[in-house]
Amino acid sequence: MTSPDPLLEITGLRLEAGAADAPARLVDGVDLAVAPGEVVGLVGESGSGKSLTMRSVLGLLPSGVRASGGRVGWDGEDLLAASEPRLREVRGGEIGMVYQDPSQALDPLMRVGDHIVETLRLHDPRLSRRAARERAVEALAAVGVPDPARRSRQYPHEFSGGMKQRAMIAVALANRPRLVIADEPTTALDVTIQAQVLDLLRTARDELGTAVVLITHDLGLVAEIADRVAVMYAGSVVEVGPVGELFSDPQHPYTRGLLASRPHLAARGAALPAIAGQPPLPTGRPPGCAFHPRCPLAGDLCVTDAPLLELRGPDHRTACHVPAPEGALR
Amino acid sequence: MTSLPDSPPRGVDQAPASDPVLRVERLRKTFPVSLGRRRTTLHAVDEVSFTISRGETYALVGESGCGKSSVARCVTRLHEPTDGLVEVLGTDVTHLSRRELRPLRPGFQLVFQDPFSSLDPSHTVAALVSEPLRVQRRPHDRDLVAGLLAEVGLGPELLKRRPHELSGGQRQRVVIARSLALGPDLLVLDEPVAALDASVQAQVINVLRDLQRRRGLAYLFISHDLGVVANLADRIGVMYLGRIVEEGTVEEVLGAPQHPYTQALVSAIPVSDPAQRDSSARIRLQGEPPSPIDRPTGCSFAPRCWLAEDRCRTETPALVRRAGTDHPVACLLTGDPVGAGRPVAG
Repeated sequence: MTSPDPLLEITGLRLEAGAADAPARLVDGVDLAVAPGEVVGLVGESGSGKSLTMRSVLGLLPSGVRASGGRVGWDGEDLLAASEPRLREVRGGEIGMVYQDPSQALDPLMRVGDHIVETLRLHDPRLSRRAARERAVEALAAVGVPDPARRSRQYPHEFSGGMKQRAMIAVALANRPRLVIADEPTTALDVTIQAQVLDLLRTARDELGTAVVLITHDLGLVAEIADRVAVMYAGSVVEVGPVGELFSDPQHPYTRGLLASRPHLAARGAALPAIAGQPPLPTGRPPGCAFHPRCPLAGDLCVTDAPLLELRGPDHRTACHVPAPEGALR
Repeated sequence: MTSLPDSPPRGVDQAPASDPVLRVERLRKTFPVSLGRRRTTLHAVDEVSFTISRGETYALVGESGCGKSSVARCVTRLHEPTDGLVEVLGTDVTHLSRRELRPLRPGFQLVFQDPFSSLDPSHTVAALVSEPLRVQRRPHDRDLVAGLLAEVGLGPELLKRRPHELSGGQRQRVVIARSLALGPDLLVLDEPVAALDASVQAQVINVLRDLQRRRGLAYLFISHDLGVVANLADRIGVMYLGRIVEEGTVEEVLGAPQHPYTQALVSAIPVSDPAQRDSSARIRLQGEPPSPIDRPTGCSFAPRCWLAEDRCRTETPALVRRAGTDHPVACLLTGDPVGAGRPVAG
């Protein structure tokens, strides 16, 4: 799309569920590119399609959800068309995964260190068990697990919530992936632990050059760590751009609404400028621009025609019919 | 001044405090636990005191396990306090039985985080909102219920719907409307907006603020989200391992935090603007809170505190105003105690 030689390049991705003749469009033509070493924040509310979009990259769509169009470009290859053995190679190898709930990644019956041993040997069968164990201890040490040799022999339930999250990140980074997909990695964590986890992702990027897609509903995290941001609403990307520009000069009314309605320290006691209405369900998305029923600026065209992502500034695109405010590039 | 004051000095000089809606004094809640053969005690809440006046929001903030939700459960008497006093509208409810509590129930209501689990999925909105009225054998009709819905910004077309037909924000408003049915003076709100989507969270915050202004409600607001707290609260108590470690107005506590733990909490709030990303020196706490079962002696925060001295590990600091502060702080390093614990302005 915009970055030179993207590592990951999703184009025109469509995901649907339900009957083939009347499917629910869960993801409707998403374009997203991630450059090597870049941190991209993928922001949206529940049901916006942000997690599904990234699960399609890994071939991990829930049953009943199918890709009906588009391409997931990974280093020249289309992962949507990849075989399951190839996807197994990619998962945990070239692409690491971090979830909100560590129990999705950590088997309660397996020692923490063995998770890392297993993923290392799966992707490098020549590695001896003994060497893998040593690397597992190093990996735990690298994410700040104290006393890693002893801790590697413990089971997940012996770890606190924050430690489990670190262990999961150690598993995700074990094979030095080129991309980590982190789905709400800090949502269940306390704010002081959240800051520690963000530091780990930052370190992975700085020291290993790992690109990160951070799936989140929290604009604060995005402001904290992302280089670029893509905002999703009702199955589509409505705005994408560099983080500084997106926060200082948001173009889409939804992005503007989200930014304005955040409760923060300065807005004490004042009514928050909330976005009216509710996000639509995937089965009941309005025609035209899906945001139009909640949009203060919606006109006739918005009710009938879905807007396309268009350039509003260098590397800054938005999907909105309403003309850009003064000063914005076209 | 060596320990917490025995008499309740707090609230005495407060303007509307002759009439506190909620008074909590030296509240303690412990749970017996067995670790293998060892039987021991979990200190969920320890010596917690605060008052809330009519029309005021008092927020308890802190991380999971700090005891803030246990305070909420003691105040609403889902738990019976181990020790201390809980007084609602001048009545001591600390050890009342369920039957004795029933006539007082209309006065104080609890709103949980998860609107889905607190609404029976088989009932209509009309039945859910009128349920407390039926339980208390009070008259109720469609207009009354529609009026309660209108107060939380929902239309009468929702009366016949069931919870699964509502969005998360609508469900939480139904829960709030139901909690208003009996005309309470105090709402205990446990993470009421934490489960809501960003675009809907602001709506519910606005509803809560409007209701408070209209009805003069007192709120005990439990939250881990300092942004939400800053917007809604008048005063804040910061909890760590069962104790309040700092208390004051929003401006005092969030604007000029004194306790090292509060400083770390405020410092860990993600920036609201990427341009400020690197401008401020961040405090990064190491490790995680110790278990409330094996609390360290002295100041509970000392094992994670970058300023801790030897005396912090032996002496438990009292929550009092200190030489260097204008509000109560439980930290020896903030200075020596001044006076008898200042009555906190509302």
